[in-house]
Amino acid sequence: MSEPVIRVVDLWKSYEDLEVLKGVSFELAEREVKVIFGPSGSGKSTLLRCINMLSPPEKGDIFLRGQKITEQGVNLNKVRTRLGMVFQHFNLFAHLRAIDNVSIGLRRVKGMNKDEAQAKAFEALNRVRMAQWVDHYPAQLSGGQQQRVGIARALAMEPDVILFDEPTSALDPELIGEVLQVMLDLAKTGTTMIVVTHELGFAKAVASEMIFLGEGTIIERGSPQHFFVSPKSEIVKKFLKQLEVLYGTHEELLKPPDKENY
Amino acid sequence: MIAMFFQTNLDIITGIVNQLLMFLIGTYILRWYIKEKKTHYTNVWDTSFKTAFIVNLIWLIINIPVIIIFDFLFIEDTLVALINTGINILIGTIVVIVLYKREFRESLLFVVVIQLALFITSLVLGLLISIIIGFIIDKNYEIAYFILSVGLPFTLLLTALGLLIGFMLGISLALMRVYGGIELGWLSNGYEKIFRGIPILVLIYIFAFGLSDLFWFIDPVQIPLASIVLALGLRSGAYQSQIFRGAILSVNPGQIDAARALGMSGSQAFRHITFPQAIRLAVPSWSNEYSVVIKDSSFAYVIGIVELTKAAYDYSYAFRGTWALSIGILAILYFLLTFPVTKIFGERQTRKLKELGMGGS
Amino acid sequence: MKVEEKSLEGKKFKSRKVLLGASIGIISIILAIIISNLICSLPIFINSDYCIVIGFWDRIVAGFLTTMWLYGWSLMFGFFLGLFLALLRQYGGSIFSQGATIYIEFIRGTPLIAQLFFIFYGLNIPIENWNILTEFTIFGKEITFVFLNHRILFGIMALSLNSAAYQAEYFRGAMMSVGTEQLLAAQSLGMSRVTAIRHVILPQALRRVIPAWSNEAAYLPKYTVVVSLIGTTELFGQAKTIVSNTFISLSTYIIVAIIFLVTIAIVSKGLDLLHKRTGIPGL
Repeated sequence: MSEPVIRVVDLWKSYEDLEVLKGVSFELAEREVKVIFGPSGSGKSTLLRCINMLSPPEKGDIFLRGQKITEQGVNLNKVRTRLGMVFQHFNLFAHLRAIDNVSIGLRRVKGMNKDEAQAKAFEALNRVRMAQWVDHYPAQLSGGQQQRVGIARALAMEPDVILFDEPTSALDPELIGEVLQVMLDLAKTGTTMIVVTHELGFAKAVASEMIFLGEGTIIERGSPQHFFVSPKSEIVKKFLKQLEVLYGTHEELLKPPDKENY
Repeated sequence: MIAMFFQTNLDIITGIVNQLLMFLIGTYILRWYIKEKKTHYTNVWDTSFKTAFIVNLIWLIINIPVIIIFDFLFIEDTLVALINTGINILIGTIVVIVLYKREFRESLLFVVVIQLALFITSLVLGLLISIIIGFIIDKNYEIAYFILSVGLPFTLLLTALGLLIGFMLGISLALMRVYGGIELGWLSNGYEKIFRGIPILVLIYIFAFGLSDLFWFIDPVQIPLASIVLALGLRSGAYQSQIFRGAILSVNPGQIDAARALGMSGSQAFRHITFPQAIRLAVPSWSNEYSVVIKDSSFAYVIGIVELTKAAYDYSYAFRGTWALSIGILAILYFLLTFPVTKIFGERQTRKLKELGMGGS
Repeated sequence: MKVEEKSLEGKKFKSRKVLLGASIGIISIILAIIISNLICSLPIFINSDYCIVIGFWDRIVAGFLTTMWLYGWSLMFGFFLGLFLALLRQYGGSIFSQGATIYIEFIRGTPLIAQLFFIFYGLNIPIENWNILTEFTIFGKEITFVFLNHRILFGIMALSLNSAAYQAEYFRGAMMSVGTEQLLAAQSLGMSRVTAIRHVILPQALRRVIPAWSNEAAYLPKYTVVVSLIGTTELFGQAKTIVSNTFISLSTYIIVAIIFLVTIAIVSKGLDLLHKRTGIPGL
C-alpha cells in the first residue's frame, strides 16, 4: 500500500471572524477521484485553496506524498508545481496565446527551454482536444475552450494531483459537456483528482468517493452509490433534491458531445 | 463682421462665408428641433425644413444691412459684433414664437441658448476660416515654420525629460503603494496629494527662485531649465503613479492565483503576468499624460525658456498685429502634437485591449 | 412641471450647502489670519521669513478671494457648457456631435495658456481699465476685492471654456455608462428623445459623474493661477508682488502652495461628503 497522495488532517480555516473550515480530514490515494460537493459557503473552494497553500490554514496539516507542506520553511513554489489547479473562472493569462499559457509554467518555473516546453504544451493541449486553437488568445475562445486550456495548463506540469474548483460553474450549459468529457477522460486514464462540483452525473460516473461539505465540516461521505441510493442525513437529502430539480437527471450529462463542436 | 474681432486681412470674405455657414447650421438646428416636437410624421421634412429655412433666411437678410449700417457709422468692431448677436437672438426668438406660438414658448431658453451657441461657433469658425485662408495666401506657413523651428526643440526636450522623470517616479510610487507596506503606501499617497495639489506655476517658481541654492551643482544659466524639468517631472510622477497603480490593480487577480498555483513566486508572477498586462493597460492613460506634460511645458515661457509658446510670443512682438494669428497657429501646432498621439494610443489601444479581454477585473 | 420642482429642491439643497460651505470658508480664513498673526507675534518668530510674509496677509487674503471668485464662476459656467457639449456629442445629430467633438478635442489638445492669451490678446478690445470692486477693512488692514474687470472677465471666459471641455468628457462617460437600453425603454414608452434624456438619462448620469467630476472640480483652483499671466492679482500674482517687495521667495511661494493644498483638500473632502450623502443604492 503506497502512501496516500494527499492527506488532510484536521484542517481549520477562518477569514476574519468567520470560521470557514472546522476540522476537515480526508485522504486521497493514487488514481482516486474525489468529488466534494455541498451548498455554497460551505468552504469547498477554501478547502482547495488550503491544499495548495494559496490561503494557508490556521490549524491542521496537509501531507503531499508524505511531505508535510504546512511545515514552516517549505518551498511552497516547488510544492505547487506538484499540485495542479483548475479555476472556476479559468484565470487564463489574457496576454498570452493558448500555447504560451500552457507552456509558461514549464518555462519559468520548471526551467525548460522554449522548444521542450512548447512540445509538452502542445501535447497537453492535444489531450484536451484544443490542438487547433493553440495560437488563439483567451478572448477569442469560448468559455468551454478556455477552461480546457486551463486544464491543459495544469496537466502540462505533470502534477501529482489536479484540484478542480467548480470547473463548470461559470460555463453556459451547452459548453459544460465538452469540459466534463475531458475530465472524464482524465479520470479514466488514472489521473488523481479532487473535484469540487455540482455535476453529480460526473460524480456518479468516476468518483471513487464523494464528500458532502456543509458549514465547514464533512457531513457525510461515501461512494456515489451510497449517496444516490440511500443518503443518511436530512441536509444531504434536501440538497440532492434541489440539485435534481435544477439540473435534471445525470444521465443526459454523460452523453459525449458532437464531434463537430470541437 | 464677427470675424473683425481678429486682426486678419480678409474680413469681408471671412464674414460672408461665416454668415452662410451660420445660416446652414441654424437651419439644421431648427429643423431638428421642430422634428422633435412633431408627433405625426407626415411631411415633417418639408414643413420643418421650410420653416427653418424661412427663419434663417429672415435672419440672414436682416443681418447684412445691420452690419453695413453699423460699419458706416464706424462704431467699434466689437460693439458691432455684440449688437449683431443681440439682434440675432432677438429676431430668432421672435420669429420662432410668432410662427409656433404656444408650443414653443416654453423653449425660449432653448432658442436663446442656441443663438448664443451659434455666436460662439461663428467666432470660432471665423477664426478657422481666416486661418485657412491665411494658409492659402502662404503667410501662415512662415509663422508656423518660425514657431516650430525656434520652439519645438525645447518643448520636446522638456516633455521628454519631464515624462522620463515622471515615469521613474511613477512606477516606484505605484509599486510602493500596491506592494509596499502601510508606511510606504502613506508616503506614496502623501506625495501624490502634494504634487497634484500645487499649481505647476507655483512649483516652477519655487524651484527657480526659491530653491535655487539646491542647484549649486548646475551652471546658473541652466537653472531655469533644471527647475522646470524638475517641476514637470515631480508633477508627472504623481499622476503617473496613479496611472500605474490603476493598471496594476485592474489585472484580474484570478490570474495571479493561477500563476501562483503553477508554482510561480510572487515576483515571478509580477514579472510575467501582472507587468506585461499592466503596461498595456496603462498606455491609454499614459498617452493622456504625454498630452498633459507637453501642454504644461508651455509654462516654461514664464522663466524665459524658448519653447513653442515663447516663440509665438516673440514672433508676435516682432511683428505687431499678428497676435491672434500666431496664437491660433500655436494652438494648432500643439493640437497636432497631442491629438494624433492620444487618438492612436488612447482610443485605438482601448479598443484593442477590449478585444483582448484585458482591463476588466 | 415635475422636473422643475425636483431641480428646485435640488437647488435649495445645494444653496444651503453652498452657504454652509461659504460661511465655513470665511470663518476659517479669519481664524487662519488670527492664528498666524498670533504665532508671529511671538518673539522667536517675529523676524523669520514666514512671518514677514504673513505680515502681508491682507494681500494674501485679497488674492485668495480673487482665486476663489475665478474658481467659482469658471466651475459653474464650465459645468453648464460642459453638460451642453456632452449632450450634443452623445445625442446630437452627426453634425453637432462632430462639432462638439472637435471643440472638446481641440480645447483638450491645446495648452490653457494659449487659450487664455488668445482670448485676452487676440480679441484686442481696446478698453480703458474699468473695475468693479469693493473695499473692506479687517483688523486694521484694507482689502480691495475686485469683482470684475476685463482681465477677470477674460480669465473666467478662458477657464470656463477650458473646463467645459474636460467636464464634457466626464459627463459623456457617465451618460454612456447609463446605457442605451434605458433610452430605448423610455422611447418605447412614447417619450421623445429629449424627454427621455432629460428625465431618465440625466438624473442618473449626473449622479454617476460625481466622483470623477469632484476630481476636476477640486483641482480647478490650480488652473486659476494661469490668469495671473494676464495681470490679474489673484493669489499667485499677489505672491509675486510680495516677493518683489521683500525678496523672500521661498517662504512666499511655499505659503501659497500650502494654501492651495489646503483648499483643494477641503473642497475634495467636502465633495466626497456630498457624494456620500446623496447616494442612491445601486447607482
